[in-house]
Amino acid sequence: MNAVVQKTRRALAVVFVGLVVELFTILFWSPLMFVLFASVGAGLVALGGLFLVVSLWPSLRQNPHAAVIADDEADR
Amino acid sequence: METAVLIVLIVAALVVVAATWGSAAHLLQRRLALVVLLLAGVALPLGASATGVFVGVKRSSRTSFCVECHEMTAYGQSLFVDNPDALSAVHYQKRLISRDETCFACHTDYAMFGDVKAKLNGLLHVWVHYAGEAEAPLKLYQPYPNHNCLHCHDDARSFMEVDDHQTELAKLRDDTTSCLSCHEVGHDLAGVTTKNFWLGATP
Repeated sequence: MNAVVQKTRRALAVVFVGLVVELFTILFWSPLMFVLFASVGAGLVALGGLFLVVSLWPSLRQNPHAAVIADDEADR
Repeated sequence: METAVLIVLIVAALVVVAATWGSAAHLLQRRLALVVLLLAGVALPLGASATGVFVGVKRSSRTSFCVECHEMTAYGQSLFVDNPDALSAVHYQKRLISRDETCFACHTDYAMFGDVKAKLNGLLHVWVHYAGEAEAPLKLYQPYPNHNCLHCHDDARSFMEVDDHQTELAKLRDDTTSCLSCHEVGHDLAGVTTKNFWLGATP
């Protein structure tokens, strides 16, 4: 498994944990749970999202021609 | 209803993120699929989180949210006290303000950042509730600003027709005379202690 896939999966795992925290806090809603939702849950989702963008940034920046070639290769 | 929608949204985001995690290696091979990956891993979860925060902030304005903490119990009960001079009771019982947002209607500043300030103070209250101990008796952070009263009453007929309001109008508007200097009782906590409730209601 290459480094980009690993980084992507790690970032998605952080987002996943954030969403689980959010789900838990909604099910047991109280003033404290809202604070946890907004700080821990939403914080992890934002952090994971940031990691994901950072890990995908090199792939997104590659030149369009190379991307088409990559797409063609993937088709094959 | 909004809780159910929020739960569905978050569960959907969880499923999509999990599916994306499983197919990450495949998605990363195609440039177009990167956009899908970003939508699934960033846009959808962030959208769900933002919706949750929005719903939570909206809920934190509700009367039920404020009186959930024991420090506020007596203040919540004071809305039902049978005292025509108690401001909170009169406003609540005569439906002068929304019953769903009774506390927030009077305890937020009606300026550009009034709501933000009220929410930040609310965060501090939550912190004190769970991590510390509120000082008794509770005090306002600042003298109650007349602007919060005048926001609704300023040009109201019932307000304008009172002679004392007319003579003091300039001072009331520039906050040099407090509305509370005549309307002294904000919350009738003594009435709560003696259980002097409107129609014998037991909140």
